[in-house]
Amino acid sequence: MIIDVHAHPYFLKEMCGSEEQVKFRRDNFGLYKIALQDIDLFKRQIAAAGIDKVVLLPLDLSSTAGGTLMSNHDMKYLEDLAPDTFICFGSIDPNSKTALSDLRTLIKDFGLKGINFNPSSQHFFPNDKAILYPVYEIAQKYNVPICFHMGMSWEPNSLLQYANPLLLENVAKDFPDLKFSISHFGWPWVVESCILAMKYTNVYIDTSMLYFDSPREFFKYVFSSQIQPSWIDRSLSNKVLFGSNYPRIEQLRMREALEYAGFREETLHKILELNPIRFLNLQGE
Amino acid sequence: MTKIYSKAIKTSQSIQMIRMGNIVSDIVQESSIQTGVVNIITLHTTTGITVNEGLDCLELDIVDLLKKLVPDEGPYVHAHFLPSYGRTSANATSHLRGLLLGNNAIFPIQNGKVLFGGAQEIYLVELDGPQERKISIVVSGD
Repeated sequence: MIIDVHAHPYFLKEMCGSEEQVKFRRDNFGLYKIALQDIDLFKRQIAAAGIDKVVLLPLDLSSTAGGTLMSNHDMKYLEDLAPDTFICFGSIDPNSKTALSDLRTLIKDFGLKGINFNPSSQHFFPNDKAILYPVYEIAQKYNVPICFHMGMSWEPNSLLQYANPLLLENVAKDFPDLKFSISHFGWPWVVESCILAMKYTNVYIDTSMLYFDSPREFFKYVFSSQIQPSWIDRSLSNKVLFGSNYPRIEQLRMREALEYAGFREETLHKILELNPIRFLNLQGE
Repeated sequence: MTKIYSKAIKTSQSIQMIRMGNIVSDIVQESSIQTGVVNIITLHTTTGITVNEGLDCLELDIVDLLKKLVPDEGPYVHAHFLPSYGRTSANATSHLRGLLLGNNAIFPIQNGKVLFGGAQEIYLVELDGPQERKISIVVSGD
């Protein structure tokens, strides 16, 4: 079962209610020229990439942009439209007074499978004990994984000061049973991301990174110049997750880039299947 | 008289040859035009319209040729972040393969039917799929 742990559902036709809503998503996600596509076409693209399940990530930008890119209610609705294919996460705004109750609703009422945070767009430091630690305690209690977008973000209102993966070290140490992923390989802080994933058993990294050149070329650069393929094969094969960052890039191209990055077959099997299954608590499925 | 028809086609593979002959014939019949021409035009830059013999083996050869002439890996300049799109362009090969095929085909209409040669088939060639593609079919004549 091959799983893409990093995709966004903002431009699926079934989830686009009004032109105003689509414009809000374009402006705040920073993806301007993209045709809306229906779920049937999305499933064709998923199948063409040889993927079985996709984690779909929403984002609550209430404090910084005045709305959500997609609400938790809509994420629940979306998952019900294709439960065999979609694994839907939820999102809360850490700066909201209702953050904790929103989190409980997300987990207990909607049954969403994880939490998505983008510190650089939501403008918070993930190691802020006063604001975030109560959130992490609940997530750890219910064994709900967290996706942290770290490193460079294309979202226009994002700031790198919130995005250094090292900001997550205290979280990894203080919540050892809270699984979380560092998205985008934390690029450009790739080595920092690797250090955290190597040191802390609860830290994962996803491959949804594309900043220069083509997917194949960029993966080749990261995995042969910034670090070595052997780092992943030998030390991090259990900690890397396949993520595409669809629709900012096609899943098929990111899958091909991963296949050409120079890893051992056993490592690819772990990145594409075994690690996401463990991260998402899908062992029984 | 000229009539313009639009056809939407969802593809299912990254490169795919889709036979269009029957679709075009049905539209010409619907137009009631007896003598004239029909133009089949793709509205995209990462597809092609071409004419060849409708055989599975040839379809494989054509796809192989396109990949050989425009390899998957190469120093393509169209591989960078496009600010106006908010995403990376990663489909230079799709554009360049489309360049080799062109965007249209034209056939005569005689006695209300498309005048195909004995071996001819019209293909929409998907080069960046799966996607939903729009084809314009323009029927002109009397």
